[in-house]
Amino acid sequence: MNEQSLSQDSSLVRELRRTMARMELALGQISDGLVICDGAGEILWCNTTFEQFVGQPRLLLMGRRLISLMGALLPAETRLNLDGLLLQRPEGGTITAVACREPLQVIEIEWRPVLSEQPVPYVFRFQDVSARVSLEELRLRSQELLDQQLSLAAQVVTCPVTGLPNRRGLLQALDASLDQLEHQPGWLAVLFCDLNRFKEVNDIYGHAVGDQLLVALARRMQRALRPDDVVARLGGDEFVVLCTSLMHPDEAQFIARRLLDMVALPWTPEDTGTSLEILPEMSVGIVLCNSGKRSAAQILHDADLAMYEAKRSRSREPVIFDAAMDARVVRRQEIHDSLRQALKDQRLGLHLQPVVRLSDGLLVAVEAFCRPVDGQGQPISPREFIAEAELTGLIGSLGQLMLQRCFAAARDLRLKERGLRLAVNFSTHELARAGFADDVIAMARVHAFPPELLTIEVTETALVDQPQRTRSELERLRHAGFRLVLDDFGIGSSSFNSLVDLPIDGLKLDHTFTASMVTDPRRCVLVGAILNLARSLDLDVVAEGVETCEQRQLLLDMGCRLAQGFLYSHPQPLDQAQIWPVQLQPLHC
Amino acid sequence: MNDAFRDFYGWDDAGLIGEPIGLILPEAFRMAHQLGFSRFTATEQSTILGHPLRLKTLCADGRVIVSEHFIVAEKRTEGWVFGATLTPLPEGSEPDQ
Repeated sequence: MNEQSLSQDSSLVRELRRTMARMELALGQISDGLVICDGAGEILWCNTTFEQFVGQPRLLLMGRRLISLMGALLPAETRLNLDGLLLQRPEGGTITAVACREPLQVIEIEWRPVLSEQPVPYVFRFQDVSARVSLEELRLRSQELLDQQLSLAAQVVTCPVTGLPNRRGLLQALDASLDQLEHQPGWLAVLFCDLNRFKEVNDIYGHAVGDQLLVALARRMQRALRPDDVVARLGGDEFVVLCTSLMHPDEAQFIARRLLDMVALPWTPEDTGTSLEILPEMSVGIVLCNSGKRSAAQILHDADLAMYEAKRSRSREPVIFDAAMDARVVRRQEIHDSLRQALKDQRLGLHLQPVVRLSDGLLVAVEAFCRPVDGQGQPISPREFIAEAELTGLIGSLGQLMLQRCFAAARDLRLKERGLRLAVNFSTHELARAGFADDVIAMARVHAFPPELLTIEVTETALVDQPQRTRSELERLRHAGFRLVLDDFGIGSSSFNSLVDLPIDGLKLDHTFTASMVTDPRRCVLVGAILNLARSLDLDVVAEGVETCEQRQLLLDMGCRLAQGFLYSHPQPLDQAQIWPVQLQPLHC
Repeated sequence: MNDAFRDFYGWDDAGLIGEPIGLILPEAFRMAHQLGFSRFTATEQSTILGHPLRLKTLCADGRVIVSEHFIVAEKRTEGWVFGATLTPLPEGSEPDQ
């Protein structure tokens, strides 16, 4: 062997040693125990995990027969006959053996022959599969437990907090009453009662006080009822009263009012050490029934709808279910779906109407209207979609999307370059939202739209619910240079005080005045007075709903400068608005 | 190799010099020895150096004797050099526990 081949051998050995070292390090890190045995079953090598498995160092394991170590791995009763297994299945295989029952330890052993050598060595892999088996066992055990609990729950017919019948108990009673109604005349009433703002009680005073209140109200309700009536708690803040053997449907309303009166009495929780007083309120929906043909579930569903209507109306009066409610619910759902879709697609119908100078029809401003459409492509009225958006919390996103679309339309119409104002309307909910003004200011900045050209139209009702917060947002907007005008002036809760009290630049005369002033002299006088007042206060006035030449002339005569209405143009989509001339002529004068 | 080793274990120079030291280990220990040795050359960390170990040792005639091995190592410019003393233990002695 010459010097060169010796050097090559030496390099090869070094390379092999490096490779083997890496392999051994890698095999030492895996979580399975690995053992290589020669044909006689003696251990030639094992990894660190196997050392830990059997609790002995490798030096001691070398040369020992693997079968002799099984005692350290498995209890006597499950001792494996490895020799026998290797004889039976020389091609390799896997077995699972329980090493310990408490705590459960299960080991999976896999063996594979190294076929290139004779006698054949074997590679063994040991894996602790206790966690896997335990999980499976746990799953089985928890399923058994769940089945037991469900079976027990199916027998429970009372609410654990109030002791009243629960939904199951109520349905049993309602089914029995409906059966009875098949055979004897009379009326049955289901009163669906839902506490208002109960969540606030839980949030502010804690669930213990909330539970106390539920118990107290359950007792009050029982006292307000006749001996045979049933009051049940469905869960949360929902109670249902079942009244049977009514001679007249009106009796249900009397009972409902009695319930409302009893519930509304002030209540003080026990053991709080405070003089805390809560004024409970609830909404009641009623379903009346004089035949046993309807299902209990359907009756409860209808009563729930009626209660929902009562809650929406915000009045204390109970609401009796009628078939139209179903249609209204379907319609609301349709509107809700349409709004969600519009938000998802970032598409929202926008219509624009010109505001003109009455004397010559000069275009001075554009009012934008949000016009979402329903599933059939039909426009949804503002009254419908705003109410639904406010109720479902979509109003914020909708307002933002609308403003974006308005700014895009303003860009397309080149309003800024033409010095034309853009007027937009926001929901009263939006105006009261903290941060609303900041959002508008930021968005105008992003779209480089001058604040003095953006007019925000506000109705006085915006200041009814949360006057402080709304006023604060409006003042921020005005301070930032935006124009504010009072919309629909003259109707509803209009007050002359608003003209001096609110930070406004103008007002819009409601279309009902415009419509009636021609035929009603008293109205005409009122319009004249409003215009004079506004002029004295240096407020711009836009007359809304101008439809006829007479109206236009009368307004001009009274000194009204600005107007909008069908006489000049209906609200139009953007492509139509883009072809408006600088001066719009009345359509039929 | 000194004479004492030659005398007791029966190995001569012709049979051992230039051969892997694994030859004096029983067959079942050779793989572990090779891997352990490889690991040491790669990591330079050892659990067996510098302290006595009772290991099975293979004699030239095939007998296996439990002996006390004391292995030392020294790193030189040309690489690691290993040396060991082997002391045969009385018959019936057990390898290290």
